[in-house]
Amino acid sequence: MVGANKFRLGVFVLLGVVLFLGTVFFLGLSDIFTKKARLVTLFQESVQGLAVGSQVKYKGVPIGSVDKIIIQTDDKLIRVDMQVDPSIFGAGREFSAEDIEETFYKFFKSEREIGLRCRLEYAGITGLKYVELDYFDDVSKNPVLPKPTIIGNRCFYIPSTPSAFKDILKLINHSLESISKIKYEEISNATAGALNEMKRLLQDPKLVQAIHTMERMSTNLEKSSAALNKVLTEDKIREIVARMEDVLKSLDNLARQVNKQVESARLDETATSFRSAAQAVGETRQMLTHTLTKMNQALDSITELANYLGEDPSSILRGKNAPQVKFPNN
Amino acid sequence: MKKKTMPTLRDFVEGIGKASTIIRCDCRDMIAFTGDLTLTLLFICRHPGKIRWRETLYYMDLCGSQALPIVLMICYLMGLILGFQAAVQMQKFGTEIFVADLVGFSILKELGPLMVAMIATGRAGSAFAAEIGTMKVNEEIDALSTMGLSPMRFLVVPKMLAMLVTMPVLTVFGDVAGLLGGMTVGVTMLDLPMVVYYNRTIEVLSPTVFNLGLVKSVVFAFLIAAIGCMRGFQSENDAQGVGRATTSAVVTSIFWVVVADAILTMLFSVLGF
Repeated sequence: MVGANKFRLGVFVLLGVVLFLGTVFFLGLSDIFTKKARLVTLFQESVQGLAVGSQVKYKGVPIGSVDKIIIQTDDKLIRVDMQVDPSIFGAGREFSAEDIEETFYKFFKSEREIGLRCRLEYAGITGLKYVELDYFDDVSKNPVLPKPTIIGNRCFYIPSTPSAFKDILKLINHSLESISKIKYEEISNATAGALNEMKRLLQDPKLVQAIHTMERMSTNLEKSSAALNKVLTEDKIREIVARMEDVLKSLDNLARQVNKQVESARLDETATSFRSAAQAVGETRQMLTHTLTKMNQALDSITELANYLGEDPSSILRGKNAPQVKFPNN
Repeated sequence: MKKKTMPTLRDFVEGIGKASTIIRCDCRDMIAFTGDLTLTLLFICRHPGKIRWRETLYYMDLCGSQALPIVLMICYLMGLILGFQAAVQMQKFGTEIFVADLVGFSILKELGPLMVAMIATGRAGSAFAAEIGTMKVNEEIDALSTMGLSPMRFLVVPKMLAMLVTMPVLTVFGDVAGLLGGMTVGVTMLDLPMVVYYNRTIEVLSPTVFNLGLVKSVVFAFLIAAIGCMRGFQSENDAQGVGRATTSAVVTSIFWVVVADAILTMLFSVLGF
């Protein structure tokens, strides 16, 4: 039998052992030799996505991991125990094992008083969560959960505050619930029916004819409007409006007088007054009718004038054309 | 030349019967071999002085240090491939950093021990079967028995001890090489800083994950050595028989390694690891 290459075998085994120890050490065995501080918090909301080993961060800096998650049966709160490396904290120096109790916990105690809270945050798109220690704005709105009765030695309690996504999820759930109540099928059927009706209506010959008529009317209206624009200047319109105002004032005065008469009416005089008032009203109506007739005539004249001016604008200077005189041929 | 006839239902039933007999005999031999091996190992534990250290070191060199380059290369490439495939998919979601998680867990828990076991099956398992099969052809095993020496103690125990020691060591090398393969992809293809990839790997992996892989490798080592030796002892007394025994050793080892891997994975999962 060929003997073993003992040197090669020795190198192989030694390297293997060194690699093994190195890998185990770097993968977490070194944590055994580090002094850990313990923090405890209570959550009222669901901690789905948080697991033993999840990160604990202070203002985004990883300071430890979740050590234990317990459901407290007496108050149905979720207790989360965290292991924190105190050597990360320090004013330019690392804590020694002796002053962990004093400096580290003293720091956390003072920070808790000024609003340091635990909150669940998403670690990414995977749904995993971590515990964030920070000073949140809405701390004062949420009541602080009471400290657990059994907290253990060297454990420090930090209250929690509800996470932002709790509200978002609630809102989303509410919205989804509302959306689910919408009867899409009915809406769809109704919309389809309405569209069919509209299609049928649009294809109706009467509507087509009505549209044509409206188009013609619109064209005529445009022409009239253009003619009026040419003739009815601003001054004339003011004048007409002023006259109408006068008429309306007269009507107003008349109405007041009628009111006075009615108010001061006596039984024996009422009939007479009423008759005279009715007569006055009748006269006024006649006058009004007359005025409106006159106005109508005036408008017709204006339209005629406008048309005439449109055909022969120079007539405004020269006056109306004299009838053409026919001369004898010789 | 004998005229071929269509197989009848009778032939089919006979075939099933023959196959069942072979499987039954195989299982019986395997159980008998396991019992014999257990007794021998217990004897060796009580009498460590009876261990043939020279042969053990030889097999450690053969199965361990000589297999190191191929193990390093295969596992490095495995980590590289795994990282590359993960990177292609994870880049779509902007989660490149999780390549470290995938490569780390896959290599340490599954692929590291499994790939090392495959290499060991091809190298050591076949070598053990061929060696013992040849000894059987040359009637050396009969000679040992005639002289009152236990072939199991003389031939199997050194191989078994060598495998039990070298396989975990090879797995450690394989794991580290696989992680480096993943890191190569992370640093070169995904432009992740090496420190970030390293920190992520350290963050997600734990000594437990690493040790689970080593436990698997010990089980695989036992299976490969035992099956290799058993097939060697079962070899027929001709050159072709040795070849068949070698092939059978490799195939059976791979099958049982995969079965054991599945069982261990489920067991670890049930135990909460």
